[in-house]
Amino acid sequence: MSSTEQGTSSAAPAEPTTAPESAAAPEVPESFYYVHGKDKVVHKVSAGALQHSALIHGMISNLGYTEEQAKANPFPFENIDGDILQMVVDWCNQHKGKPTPPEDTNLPKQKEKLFDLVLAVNYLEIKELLTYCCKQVAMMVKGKSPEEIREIWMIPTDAEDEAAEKEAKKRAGKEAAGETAAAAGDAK
Amino acid sequence: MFNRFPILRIPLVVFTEVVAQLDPAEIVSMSLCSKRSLNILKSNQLKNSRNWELEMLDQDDNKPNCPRVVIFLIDKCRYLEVLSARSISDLKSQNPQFVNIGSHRVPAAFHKGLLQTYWEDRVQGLKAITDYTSSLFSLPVSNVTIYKNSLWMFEWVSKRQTVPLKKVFWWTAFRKNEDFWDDEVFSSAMRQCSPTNKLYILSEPSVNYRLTERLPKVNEIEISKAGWITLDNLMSIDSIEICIDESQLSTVDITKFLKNWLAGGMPRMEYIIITSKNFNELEVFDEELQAYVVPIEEKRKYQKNPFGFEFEFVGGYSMQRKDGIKATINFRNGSFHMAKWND
Repeated sequence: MSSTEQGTSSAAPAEPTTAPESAAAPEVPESFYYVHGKDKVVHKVSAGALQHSALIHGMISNLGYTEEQAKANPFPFENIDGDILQMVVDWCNQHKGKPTPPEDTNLPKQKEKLFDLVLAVNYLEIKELLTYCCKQVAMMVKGKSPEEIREIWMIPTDAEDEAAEKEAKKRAGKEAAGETAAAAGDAK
Repeated sequence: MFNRFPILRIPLVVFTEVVAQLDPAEIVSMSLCSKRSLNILKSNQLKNSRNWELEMLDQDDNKPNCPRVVIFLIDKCRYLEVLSARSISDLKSQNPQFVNIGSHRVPAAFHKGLLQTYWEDRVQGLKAITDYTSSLFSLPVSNVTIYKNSLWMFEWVSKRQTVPLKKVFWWTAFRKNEDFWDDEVFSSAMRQCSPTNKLYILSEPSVNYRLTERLPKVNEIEISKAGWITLDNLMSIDSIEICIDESQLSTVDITKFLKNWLAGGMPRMEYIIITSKNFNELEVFDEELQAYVVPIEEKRKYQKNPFGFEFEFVGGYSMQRKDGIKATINFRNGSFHMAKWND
């Protein structure tokens, strides 16, 4: 299992120049968690960055892991491709501790992966990133005709839908017939 | 730019979020892609249309012979065209695409972001696209703009829905002064006008027209070319806010109007503006009226709702009826303003 170090290189805050040293609040060490996707590559992410994901935030709150336990038990997201999870982690790091602007230019650049990204972001419940992804999806058909929308959004025609439905019924019929035959065979 | 995106394969919650980012015209275009996309849209985009109003209009100054459906975005105070129904004789394309509007399959062309459908019968086309968009967005018809050849809308709307209209506009095509409505059509519109919250009469009958019907009861009425309005017509208006523009009313008429109000006339009225070239402020207050009028210096603003009339009275005259209700009146640049105060 390989590992990438994500979100760990935050610059140390500058020393206050006017306040006396004794007045400075003690710095609370940041806690880190670990996630991996389908490719098993583990990403180390700060709790602050992970707060964007309601799903992971909920998991963290419920588990109460120490850092050692967290390292030994990375959160597995087997349904998310490794490169997609990397994009999500990058975005969470870039937006750690700050609200997302309405027009976010930090959306992951590999736009051909938008579909997988949307599914992952929806699954991980990252509301702000999902809103921005949805805007990107909507932008694809701005000012387009029905024909163009059908093409871009891969909407089957009525005839294609009907053919698919017939095919599905045929398949279901065959499966049912197969099950009946198997049951009859078992009975013999 | 990405090439393709399988929109119907994403979870419904995400689909709804994407649709919320679309303009009404884009939603219409998407709905026309297939029966499945129409059905999914019908059941999953109510979030959008909560703050929308559907308007049907027959033609207008900028787009003659282009009946169409428009969505009014209430919170943004913006009108967006969504679908039009043109005459088949206007179709230029040799190979148009065809779309299904309800039970009709009609040729269509996409022009500057707006889908134009083409029909043998203009009225049938407008009815069909209105029904289609009303069903798609789950919205009743809220506003209608009628011209002298589209009074059928009143009956058609009242038969298709129980929800009353919000706004009715009577319009004169092409803003030409010579495009008068026939007097009989004007009276007919007055008789047939559906119940509505606001009525805007921007059309104009002939110079000799005399209204014998009562104006419909509304909450807001605006008559833009009101040369035909008589004092009797004025005093029979039953509306909270009234705007009478370009009238031929005289100072004597205003005096009589004020006496009528003092006697309890027009009880629902809260604000009125009347413009006329014939006003002379100094002649309004005859001896009888002077007993009820007090000159004032104060500033006071009238505004009942954010999108309604707004006027700031600076000085003017205060009047009080015997029942204690007060009003301020003011003359400014040939216009007479009056607001009743409910405090």
